[in-house]
Amino acid sequence: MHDSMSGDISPDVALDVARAARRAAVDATRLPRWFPTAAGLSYALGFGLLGVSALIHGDRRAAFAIAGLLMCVVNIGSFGILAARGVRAGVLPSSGGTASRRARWMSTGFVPAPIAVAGVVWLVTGRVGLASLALGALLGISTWWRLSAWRRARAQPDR
Amino acid sequence: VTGVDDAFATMARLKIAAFLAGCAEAEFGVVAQKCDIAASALSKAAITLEEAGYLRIRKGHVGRRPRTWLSLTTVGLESFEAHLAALAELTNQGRAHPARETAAEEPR
Repeated sequence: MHDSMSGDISPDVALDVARAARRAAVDATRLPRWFPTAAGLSYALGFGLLGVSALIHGDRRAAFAIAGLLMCVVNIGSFGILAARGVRAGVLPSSGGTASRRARWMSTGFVPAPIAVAGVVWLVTGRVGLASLALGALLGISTWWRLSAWRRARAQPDR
Repeated sequence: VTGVDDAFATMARLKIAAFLAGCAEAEFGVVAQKCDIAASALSKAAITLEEAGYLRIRKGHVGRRPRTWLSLTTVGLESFEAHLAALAELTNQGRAHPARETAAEEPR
């Protein structure tokens, strides 16, 4: 269908064609608006509730633990649904798209930071519950912020 | 201009590379549909890019249905970005010297 030499067309037309094709891929893998909030909240609630269950004693401990685990399952499930959507649609999202290098780094580079901080909290306090609370708060906020920034960057026009 | 790559010299290869630069991996049929390329042309272009080391072809399944997934390699993505930068440079040069080009094109 289209196999003509790009030498036959001007560089600006070739650029427009490339821009449109890349945009089509990015649009096919758009993150739903609700996803950053849902992912961040389920992370925060999941590890937060698990942390609370480790810190308290009594009957409610098991209830907090079950609720925390349930939120973790919801979190993993939401990422699973997103991955399944991508496979069904035939396009898997990248951390790039039309996003800048800074946005690409932000989308992956900040992932280990909350885990490292929670590890430090555990080492300093010796309490798994506090480490889990810290992990929930940091992972929840960073996930929401990271995914929101990634979503915004991909929605922007091409560089 | 440095960076212009013959691997992206055809419209089909240019479109495929651009589409794959916007995602991690895409299914063969979806690439053909979204880029408006015939399956035979896509297959030919994909093999050329694969031989250049720019494209990875992976066979997989969704349920029982076999699917072929395409993705750009790291080298492919870098070369494509360099190719786009070279095209942009050519475009800028054209804008900076429109009169010279027009004069050169006029018959003497």
